[in-house]
Parts: sequence; structure tokens; C-alpha cells
Amino acid sequence: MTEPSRLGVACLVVLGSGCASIPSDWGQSNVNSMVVERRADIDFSNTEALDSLLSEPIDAEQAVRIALFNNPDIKAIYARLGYGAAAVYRASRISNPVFSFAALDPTNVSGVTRLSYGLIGSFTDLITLPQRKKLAGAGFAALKAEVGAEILTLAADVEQAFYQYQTAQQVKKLRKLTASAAAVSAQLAEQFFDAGNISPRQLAQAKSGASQAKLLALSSEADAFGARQSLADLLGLSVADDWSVSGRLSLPGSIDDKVSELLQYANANRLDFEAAKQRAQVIAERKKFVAWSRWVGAVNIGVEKERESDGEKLFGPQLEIEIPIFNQNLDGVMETDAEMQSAAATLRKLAITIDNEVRLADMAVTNAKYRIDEIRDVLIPARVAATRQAQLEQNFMLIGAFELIQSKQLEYDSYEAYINAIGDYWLARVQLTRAVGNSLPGAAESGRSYLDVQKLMVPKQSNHMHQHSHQFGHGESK
Amino acid sequence: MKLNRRDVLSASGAGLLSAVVIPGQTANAATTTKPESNTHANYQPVRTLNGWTLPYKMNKGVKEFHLVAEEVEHEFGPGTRAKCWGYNGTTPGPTIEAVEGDRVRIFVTNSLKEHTTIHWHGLLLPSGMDGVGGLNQPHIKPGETFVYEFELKQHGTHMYHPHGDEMVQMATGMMGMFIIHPRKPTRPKIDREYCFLLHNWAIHPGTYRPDPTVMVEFDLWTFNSKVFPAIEPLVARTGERVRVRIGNLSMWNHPIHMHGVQFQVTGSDGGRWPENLWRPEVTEIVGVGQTRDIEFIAEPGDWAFHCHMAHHTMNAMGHEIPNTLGVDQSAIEQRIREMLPGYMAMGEHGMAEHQDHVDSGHHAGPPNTMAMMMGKGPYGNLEMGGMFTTVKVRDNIRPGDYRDPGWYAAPTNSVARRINKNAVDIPPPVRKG
Repeated sequence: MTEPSRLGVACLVVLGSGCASIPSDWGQSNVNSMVVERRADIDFSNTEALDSLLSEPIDAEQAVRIALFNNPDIKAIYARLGYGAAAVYRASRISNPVFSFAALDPTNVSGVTRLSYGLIGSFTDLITLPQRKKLAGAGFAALKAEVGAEILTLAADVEQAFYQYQTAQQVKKLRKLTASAAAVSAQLAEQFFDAGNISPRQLAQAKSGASQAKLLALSSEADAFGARQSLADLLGLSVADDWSVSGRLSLPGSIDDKVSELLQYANANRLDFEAAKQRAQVIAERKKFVAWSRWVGAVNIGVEKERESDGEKLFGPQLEIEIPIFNQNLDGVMETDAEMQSAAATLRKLAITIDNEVRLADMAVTNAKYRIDEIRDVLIPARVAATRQAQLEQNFMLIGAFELIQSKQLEYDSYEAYINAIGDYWLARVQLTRAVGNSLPGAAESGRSYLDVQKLMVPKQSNHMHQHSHQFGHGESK
Repeated sequence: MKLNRRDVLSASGAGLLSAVVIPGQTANAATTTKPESNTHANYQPVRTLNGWTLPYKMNKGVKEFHLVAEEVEHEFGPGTRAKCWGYNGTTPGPTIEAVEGDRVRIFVTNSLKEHTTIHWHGLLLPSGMDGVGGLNQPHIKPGETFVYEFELKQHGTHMYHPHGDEMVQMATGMMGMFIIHPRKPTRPKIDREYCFLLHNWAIHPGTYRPDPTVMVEFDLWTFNSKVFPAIEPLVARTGERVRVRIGNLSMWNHPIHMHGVQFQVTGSDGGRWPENLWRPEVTEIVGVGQTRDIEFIAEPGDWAFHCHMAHHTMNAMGHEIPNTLGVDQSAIEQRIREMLPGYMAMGEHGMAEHQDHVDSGHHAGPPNTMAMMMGKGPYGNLEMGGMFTTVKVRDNIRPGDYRDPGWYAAPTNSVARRINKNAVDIPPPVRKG
């Protein structure tokens, strides 16, 4: 084999060894696996058709599932993986060789056209190939983590919008009930006024109270519609489409996640943190690469063949070496240094932010849970008891009907507070899940029981036949 | 005779009385007892409505009584009980009965948790015995026993009550009657005597303790700390001369009205008035701090006897609740019931329907609260409460028999009756305007 042939084979081998495998889905399944590792409740399968999913009121899990295939931005999120794949492809290739050709006619008529052929390729690319591949691969891994973090963020955004909409819908119903009570009171006031028993001022006060309650109800309608629009945007649906969310509010479980455990989860599982760490690692590797490669300069090797004008043929290797006299790529060093510092600062900031986010969200979850307990165990029973006692007093003409209705309105207010507290709890849990970057350890326990708001709003039937006083039952009759 | 708590207390005398005299009648007893005294006294013992008379012990010519100021559990009527303050287990405290000229020695033990005294309202006695804490004597501290001793220089209808933290202690029920019979029997002879104290209470619906901070808006108005229908009737035989002694330690004046007779107002805590000062009345205002004696000849029948302030003859009712008179709620009642299933519109045509609703069980009330209008008579609902009772006079009631004879069976054709206005020729009504 002639030298040129061996050289040519060598080039082919090198070219062949530079090829890296890029998954056909650009790593999407990889990303999805990372997400599912952290949120086992997330389901990427879209085996069920959208119409079928929307035929019944959806819950939070179904909303996330819909968003993962129907959200308008989801494709753009996954498309970013293409850039990483492209970088890996690019890094696993050396530059194409350059073929040169010159045909020079001699000035004297006796000579033949001088032909010059050259084939030159980058040797620098060759020697830096492994490092470049490694860097590109690490960068791709970081990108996948970032995309995974975006998917988790999308899931959290959907859940947040879901709970906001669900809560707003229930609050809307309660406000309607309260407005109805106020309207009844105003209508009753009109009857009293017609009978000549209350003054115009008192009637006006009753009407204004009813109007204010109605305004609150209307405002809650607008809020609910706004919440619906926010969720619709994330689900890729129209607000005008026929879909709804479940009216059953999940109730908290009994397990309280420990902050120390949550912080460990966050440190281990936050994909944005993982991505930032990987980015910093990439920069560190690049720094090493720049440290030695800046002395190398561009080195090209090739072959050249010439047919001289006198017909003599020449053939031989070609070498180009950049001599780093005036520029030793110090700018590259400085840039990577700057990137290192920036990456370190970003990591530090992220670590602090994650810590604070977890603690704040945990506090919000705990606080909301305490509020739920207080409202359920103390406030609502007290308001129900107050209304019941008010009814007894109204029976005996100790108070009037207006005071009785007012007691009922306060009871409705307590139900609204309950619904809002439950909504706040789930929103806080979404924030905590975001902060931890993982399903919460106690997640399996939560959401097993539900509050049926409709049942809450239906008044219990009175039972006047068996009112007893057991508080003062001793002593003899006189 | 079946003994009740008062009888036992009478017999035991709070542990200090060895030779107990029970002057007159204890609750439910049907006989008179001739009392002992150091002077001539053959008086008609007073019957304290729903109450009792404190026994005394003779000790070398001095009548010794023992009052214990203490917290008591008291029932105002079926459905309302409270923790009150009183004497010797009751509110009002037992009636002290003695004779003009008697020397009395009254031991007062304070079982309250704050100091107290007793003022002998209207009695003429030494300054140091008058009972105003801080002025006439040191306060009787919790656990202490004081003694009051004085001669009774008068006769008449008197009262006793605290004069230490007076407003609170009276508001919670501490008071009693002090009857001093004249040395010599008076004429005309009295066949029966009753006494009771007027009082008012703020037992807010659903509570179990009087509220002493209420000055005007009271809930319960009582005769001897009882409301109708728990107030005993005044029972008499036809033709008997009956005296009723009334004391007022409430915060309001009361026009006390008796149906069926004209009574004579014959005395007060100034004693029995000369006959030329007697006044025939059917209603006598007993002012705050006053006592009045009224006398009448019993006429057969059942006669209402009550304060004429209409709201004083009702049990608790809301003050300044919206006026439902004339208010048509037919269009809205169902809407209210949708959120308040127990709601029933009331009062459009007055409050008479209320008793029927309560009696039928439709309308339960707050705990420990009686309905504002109660009681059933032979012809229907009485719709009364508070300061209302009856005088029941029968031809065949024996002297000294105080038992409730039941409802009066009116003679035929002496009861207002319904007529068929189309069948009878009645004059058309005349209207003005």
C-alpha cells in the first residue's frame, strides 16, 4: 500500500471513530424517565383520547396528563433537546478535510499547466475530539436535566392552576348561597317595610347588604372564569370547550413530612439544581481543556501533489501549525474563569433559594393544615351551633328573623373559609413539590378523603321534638 | 305530711336550734299552728307564696332566728333554673314572722364568697343594727356569723335584704319578708294572709345565672322568685277576709291588679293604716322599696291577679326584635326554610299563635328558657308568664286549707258564650270615622 493510501485509511478510521450515537427521540424518553423517577404520579401515556378524558370532570392528575401531550408549549420544550443533540453531533465530528486544487499556466509556451492538488484536515480536531465529545455529552446531560425541570415545572403549574380553578368554582357556589341569603333578608325587609314596621333607612341598609353580597358573588364568578382560562391555557383547551374539574375537594392526610427529609430530597432531586451542577462541571472540564489546548493552536495535516510546469510530479505530506506567539487564547481562559465564577455563584444562590423555598412551602403546608383543622373542628361547629341556637331563640321570639339569617350567612362564610383553606393547602403542597423537585414523602397519604361541598351547603333538617338541656339537670323542683 | 327540703331545714335550723318552733305553715301543710311568743299573739300566720316561714327558738324570752346567706339552686318555673343567691336554701329567703314587742336575735352566717350584711327594711331599731355595711357595722366576711338584736317597736309588712354589694346581691335573689304582727289583733279579723316579694331577673336565654349588670331590660318578673305558671294560686273560701302583703325589691314599680273584687289598701311598712286612710282600689302601684297590704272579701271564682304591665306578665321575650305585626311572609317563608329548615313565620296577626306552636312541640327554645306565654285554663291557653297568678275562691274550702282546688266550675249561663250572629238579632256595631 502506498503512503497516501495508508494515510487515507487512517483518516477514514479517525473519521469513523468520531461518530457518536444520538437517540432518535433526542433524549425525550430519557427526560421522561427522570421526571417519572421523581414524580411517579405523572403519566406520560396518552393512550386515552382527549375527548374521553374530558367527558367526565377531571382531577389534578388527569389535568397534568392532558397538559403533557396537549400543552401548546410542550413541543417547544422538548425541541430544545435538539440543540443538545446537535452539539453532541458537532462535537463528535472533526472538520471536513479541505481539498485544494490549482491550475497554473506557465508564461512560456513550452511548459505545461502546473497542477497542484492538496487535501488537508484538522489535526487539532482529531486530538481534541475525545474532550469535545465529553464536554458535549455532559452539556447534553445538563440540558436534559433542564428540560426535565421544565416538564416538572409545567406539571406543577398545571396542578396550581387546577387547584385554583377548583377552589374558585366552589367559592363561587358558596358566594351565590350567601348572596341568596342576603337577598332573602332584603326581600323580608321589604315585607316589613310594606307593613310599616321598619324605616326607609333600615330597608335601604338591608338592600345595600344584599347588593354587596351579590357583588361579591359576581366577583367570584369572574375569578372562577379567570382561573378557568389559566388552566385552559396550560391544557391547550378553550375556555368555551365543554370540560370541567371535579368538585370534590381532597382533604389532607395525617402524615406530616419532615423538613430535614424534604431538604435532602430537594438536594438530591431538584433537576434544575442537578442541571446547574452539571453545567458547572462542564465549565470545569472546559477550563481544563482550554488550559492545555490554548498552547496547541491549529494544526492541520494533509497531502499535496503537484505536477510542475516541466511535467515533474511531486507528492508529499503537508503540515500547518499555528504558532501561538501573539495569542495564546488567554481570552478563552478568562471566559471560562468568568463562567466558572458565575456558575459557582448560580449554584450557591440556587442552593440557598431551594433551602428557603422548601422551608417556606413546608411552613405554608403546615399552616394551611392547622387552619383546616381549626375551621373544621372549631369554627364550623361553632357557627352551626350558633345558627341552631339562633333558630331556637327565634322560635321563642327572643331574636328576629334578620338576626337568624345573619347567623346563617356567617355559617356560609365559615364554609367559604374552609374551602379556601383546603385550596391553600393544595397550592402550598404544589409549591412544596416544586421546591423539593420530587413527590412528597407523605403524598400517598393525602387526598384519600374528600369534602363534598354540596353536602356541606345543604342544611340539616331540624329536629325540634327532642331539645333537652343537660347542663343543669340536678336539683329538685320547688 | 311529706317532708321536703324546707321542712328538714326548718326542723334542723341550720344546726343551731334545739327547740324549734315552726310558726304557721310550711309549704303544702294544711293546718295552722299556734305560735309562742313572749307577748300575747294569736295571729293568723302568713302564707308565703311558694315559700316558707323561718322557725325560731325561744331563748330566755328572745326569739332567735338564724339566716344563712348562700348560693342556691332555684327553679323559676318548669324549664328555667339558675344559680342564685338567697337565704337558707331559697330565694327569696324564709319569711321572718314575729309580733310587735318581741325581742329578736337574728344570727346571720355568710356562706358567700364575698362579704354581706342584712338591712331590716323599714324597721325602727338602733343605728348599729340597721345593717348598712361600712356605715352601721363591719361587713360580714365569708365564713363569719354576726348577730343582730333589737326590739320590734312596730307592726307592718317589712322586708330584709343585703346592704353590702347590694345591687349584685339583690339582683341574684337575696331578700325576704319580715312580717310583724300587731300586739293586739286588729279588726276586722283576717281569715287568710299571703305575702310575696316582687322582683326582676336578667336570666339571659340559655344562661344559668342572673346578670346583675342589667339595669332595665329584664327577662323574668317574679312573685317570690317564681314565674307563672309556677306561682301558687291564692286560695280562699267564699266570704273570707284575705290580706295580701306585697313587697317590692325589684328595680321597677308594679301596678298590682286583682280581678273580681275591689280591695282596700290597708297598710304598708308603716303598719296598718287607720281605716280613714284605707283606699278602695282594683290596682295598687307598689313602688320600689315599698310594701303594701291589701284586703278583700273573697268572691267565688277564679280571678286573675297580676302586675298590669303587660310585659311583666310574660316570660323572656326579645327586646326590640323586629315587629312582625302585619308582615306577610307567605311569599318568602319557603325560601328562608330552604336554608333554615326549622323556620316558621310568626306574628303577622299577633303573638297568640306562639303558645300553640310551643305546646305542640313545633318550636323548641334555647336551653333553660321558658316560653314567653304559657299556661292552660279550662277554656284554653292563658298566654301568661311572669307576675301572674290566680285567686281561687270556693264555697267549700275549709279554713286553713291552701290546696289548689282546680278550675272553677262556673254556674250555667254565667260564662261568656259564642252566638250565631246570623241567628240572633244583635245591634250593628257603630264605628267612628
